[in-house]
Amino acid sequence: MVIDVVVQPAQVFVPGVEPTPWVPASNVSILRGLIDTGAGGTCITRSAARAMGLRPRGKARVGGVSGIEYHNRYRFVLGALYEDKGERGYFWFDEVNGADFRDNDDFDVLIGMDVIGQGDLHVFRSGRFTWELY
Amino acid sequence: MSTLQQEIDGNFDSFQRVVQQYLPARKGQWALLRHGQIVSFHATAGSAEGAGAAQFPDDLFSIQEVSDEVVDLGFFSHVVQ
Repeated sequence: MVIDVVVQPAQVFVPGVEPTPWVPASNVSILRGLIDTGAGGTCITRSAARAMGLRPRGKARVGGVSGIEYHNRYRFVLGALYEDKGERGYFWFDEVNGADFRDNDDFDVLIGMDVIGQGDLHVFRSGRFTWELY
Repeated sequence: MSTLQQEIDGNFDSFQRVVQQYLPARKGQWALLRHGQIVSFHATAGSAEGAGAAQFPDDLFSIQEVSDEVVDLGFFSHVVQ
């Protein structure tokens, strides 16, 4: 299940400085997000992270087929593009601290249960699915 | 490899050696690190990064969650390399 998503760097809270309200950018690029209920955490490809202006801020231990690997980690917010009665908009999820992974031809963001669990995902036998976000 | 990447890698290596001594007391908190040393602990990643940005104008710092958990990517783990 691949959906349209957008990514922006997460807000930084500097001590003693009143945080400004977070405002989503208007000129965002659409990325391909794969909804994967088998993934515990949301991740992003290295090229997408670069293109979205994300800077690595740490590392994560990631479980792979060949054991544990160490990947850069980024702070970002993920938005899901929706259309409701002809009106398009974004649903913004809680901040993600996601690892990176290698580029591939199929998707840019692997949407794991940390994000999926913020809504109600229903998958039907027909292959259709709904993801209720509120 | 960039200077920031070297800082991140070095800090991670140092942090992995000591993280167990902060578990479970500080589990879920975020450590601010510089030159292999833990500078402070914070409740959120955003505040840890903000403290780093305020203290280190050269941008050479990293943050790590106090946790020994592994990010499990399930079926798509083969794409992570």
